[in-house]
Amino acid sequence: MRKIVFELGGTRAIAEMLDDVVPKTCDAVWNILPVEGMSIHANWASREIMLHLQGDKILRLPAEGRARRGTTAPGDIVYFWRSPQMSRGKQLAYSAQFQKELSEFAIFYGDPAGGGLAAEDPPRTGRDSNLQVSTLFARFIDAPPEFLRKCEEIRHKGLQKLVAKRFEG
Amino acid sequence: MRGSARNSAMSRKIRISFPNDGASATADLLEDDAPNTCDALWDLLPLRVRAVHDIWSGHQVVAHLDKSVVLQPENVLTYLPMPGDIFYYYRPTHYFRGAPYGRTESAELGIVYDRDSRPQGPRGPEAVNLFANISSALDQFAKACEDMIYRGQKEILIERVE
Repeated sequence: MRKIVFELGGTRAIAEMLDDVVPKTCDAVWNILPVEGMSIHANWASREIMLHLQGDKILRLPAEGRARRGTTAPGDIVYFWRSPQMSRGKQLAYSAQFQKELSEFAIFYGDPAGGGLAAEDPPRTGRDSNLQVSTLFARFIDAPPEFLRKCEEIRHKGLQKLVAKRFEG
Repeated sequence: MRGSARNSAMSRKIRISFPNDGASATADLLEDDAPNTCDALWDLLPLRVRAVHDIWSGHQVVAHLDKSVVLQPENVLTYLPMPGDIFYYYRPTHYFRGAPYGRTESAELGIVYDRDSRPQGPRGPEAVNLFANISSALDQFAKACEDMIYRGQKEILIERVE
């Protein structure tokens, strides 16, 4: 299985891609690596940080694999796309072109993960509308406590630079 | 009818500020609906505490109170708050798995600054004591709240308006 390394604030974690479950999504993600940006903490989905994709890194992928029902575990990494029609307001941390269309890696770093409004409100999931895609494509296999603390720090200290790149070790 | 309209014009008011941002709003206490909560929190003022953006509930910031501030449920039917609503809630010992941020129990204030929000925690939607509603300067205050998504936690000051 291919692996991705995430670097955040001097720490790093390694994830294994789910090549045998969602091969097309994994290929698409692999092909845009490395990606870097300012990671932002979730407001709806509990212990999750997001790495935004934009410019020539943006991915607009169809759904792949089994439909998910909000059962996200710590360590899960999800490809997430939301159409501009789903958004209200703007994501001010992102560049003007991509403040309403969201394409990102959703990184669930802690327990409990994936709760909150995102999981509890069916309309918010975009279910049955094709306006939102959420594909679990990787899981952490080595996420040391200092990396997880850095993820949580984003909530308290604000945006931090996050890099995702191929792990060639 | 909104709580702020339902309560009399003579209700007590509180000022909520982000001292480092210069943002401030005034809220009316909902004394008819939550008299005990209003009294208890009024007696704590002024309060200067750290606030952080919520990660479960949407457009909401939370401020942790001392865990000794344990109030009984009151006016708890509102689980779909409006922008400007301010509420108290308490999470008892063993509510959390482990001790996030060193807490095994928690007394908190929640401030809703935009729509599409619902008080929620690790166990799902929360029943909260809705006790105040911002009646002026919500727009400016909301911007300072949203800014916490990008800049992290801030100090918040809550005072009596005499």
